Amino acid sequence: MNTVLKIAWRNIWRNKVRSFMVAAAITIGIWSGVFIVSFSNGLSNQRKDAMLKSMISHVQITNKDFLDKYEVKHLLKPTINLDAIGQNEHVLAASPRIKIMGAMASTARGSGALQLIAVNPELESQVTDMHTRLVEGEYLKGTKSKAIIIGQKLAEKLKTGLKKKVAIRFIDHNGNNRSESFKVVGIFKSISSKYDELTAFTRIDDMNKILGVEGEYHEVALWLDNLENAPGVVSQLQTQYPDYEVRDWKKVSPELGYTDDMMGMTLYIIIGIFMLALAGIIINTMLMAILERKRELGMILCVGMNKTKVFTMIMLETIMLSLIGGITGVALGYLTVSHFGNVGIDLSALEKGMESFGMSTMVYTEIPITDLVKITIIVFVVSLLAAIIPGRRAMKLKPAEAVRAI
Amino acid sequence: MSIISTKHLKKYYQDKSVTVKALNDVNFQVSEGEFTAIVGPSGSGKTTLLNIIGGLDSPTSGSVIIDGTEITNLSDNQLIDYRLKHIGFVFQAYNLIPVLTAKENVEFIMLMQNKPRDEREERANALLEAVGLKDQIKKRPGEMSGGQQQRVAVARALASKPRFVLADEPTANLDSTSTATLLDIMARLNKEENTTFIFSTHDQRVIDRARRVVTLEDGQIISDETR
Repeated sequence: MNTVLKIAWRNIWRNKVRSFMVAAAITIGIWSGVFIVSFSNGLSNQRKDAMLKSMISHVQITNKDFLDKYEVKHLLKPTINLDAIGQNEHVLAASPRIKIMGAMASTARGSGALQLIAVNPELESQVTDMHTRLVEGEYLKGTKSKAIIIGQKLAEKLKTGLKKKVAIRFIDHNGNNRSESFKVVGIFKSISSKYDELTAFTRIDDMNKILGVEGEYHEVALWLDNLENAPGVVSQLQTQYPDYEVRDWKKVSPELGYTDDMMGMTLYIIIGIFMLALAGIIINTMLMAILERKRELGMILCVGMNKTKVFTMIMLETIMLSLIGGITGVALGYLTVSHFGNVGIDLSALEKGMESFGMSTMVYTEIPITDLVKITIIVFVVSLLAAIIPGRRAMKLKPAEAVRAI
Repeated sequence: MSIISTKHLKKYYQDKSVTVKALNDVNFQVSEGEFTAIVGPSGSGKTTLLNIIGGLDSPTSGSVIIDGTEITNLSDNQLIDYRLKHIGFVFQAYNLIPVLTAKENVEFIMLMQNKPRDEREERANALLEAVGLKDQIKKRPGEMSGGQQQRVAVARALASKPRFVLADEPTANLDSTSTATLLDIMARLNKEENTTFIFSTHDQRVIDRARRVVTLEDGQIISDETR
């Protein structure tokens, strides 16, 4: 076996330029694959984290009827005990919300549709980070009148600004048309320009007064200690509150959940494409090498090396060549991902397009070590499979003919 | 006593609609210690005969008996083992493994036979000394002349202590000096160690040194001259 291994290793280096080119092609392929996957991961995870932090939270408890029709009248009755929910070991914070969907905001110079979300500023700050995304003003503080914060895009659309009044029309819980005036106390800019164009926040106390209700709301948003615990918490709370709909973030935002699931598959799709190319390179190179060494292979078959050893030798050559390129590619990929994971990739040139998709313009690449290990294993398996074709070709050589090959 | 015996050996090829009789009823024996040249024009069947004796090809009919064993009945794996243990090969184009040194090339056969390291090294050194390449053992084939490479090939052929050596046009690529040196070495090994050599050749210099010359034409032996 040592001899076969030694010959296989030396054979790789008998045509240094070709072996180097093949190893380099594999390295570049794997490196690109790792980078693309980590870039997609970074983009997707940042978007997911930002959406969870600024809009969705981890889990929501919602009135079932409200989810069907989004009518204001479907409030949570009886009121959910927020303290009891807060005692769940995985729940870090809970924030009640009243949501007015399909409202219309207008000023003297503009109008636009929006969803008005009424929150308890203190509790909401523990569940979402909207309070950190203000570009002007303060987060629902400092005024006695009905305060509102609106998205930057909406402010532009309404041609309004801080301390200006905005009239909001909506259908209240009694089915009456209502028009209320709010004072703009802050303007926010989230990661999604679409969200900014369609969303405004007010205080739940103000909304309670407007609606004439006390301690009722449409949903409770929860922030957990770990996203992974969401399914377990959903299951517990659903048992506890069977009349309400308890949903984790994937159910609240199926599009986001789908994107997250797709990213997992993307790794395999991208790596799969690179692996097909890798297999093609390996098979082509090794078949060429066998053609060049036909006489030599014929000789070793003539003098008594059995076909299994010849097959093993070709397999070893192929696997070693692939692993040299593959491991170098994974290592380079890891270094690149680590670097851009720290400093980020600035895509501010694409700011408008990315914001409309809710993506940050600074992308921090990320890839789990387990994925790098998976890629290395996949490279090994692919090279093993790709080696079978040239290995079989070598085995099938007829020694008497091969030894005289020109 | 003959170590190789062929009886009514026939090898026919089908070339489109024509049947080519590469060997046609060849009866041929080789005794231990012979230094035999098989000669004949191109297409006379020399190489086919050597291939069949060497277990690299199978006859259409007839038998090949080596040391009492009918080798045409052996399986592929048995033939590989048989070649490894009983036959040394020398090829026209040397066919050394370019990534191994001269010594490693000679040891290669013994490695296949799982011979212990000490025995391998001792025999490889002795054989390379016998072919006059004691000072070239660390060189790779690409660093040696054609004549030197063929001498390494002879050393390799003898490494497994084969019953006989089949040499297919061993001097075809060599100049006259290298040919003379190679023939001297093989003749000495034949004489001193009683190694049996069977050559297929066109080369008059080889024919002149052979003690037996078998001439083939159209797949048949037309003369068998012992000197």
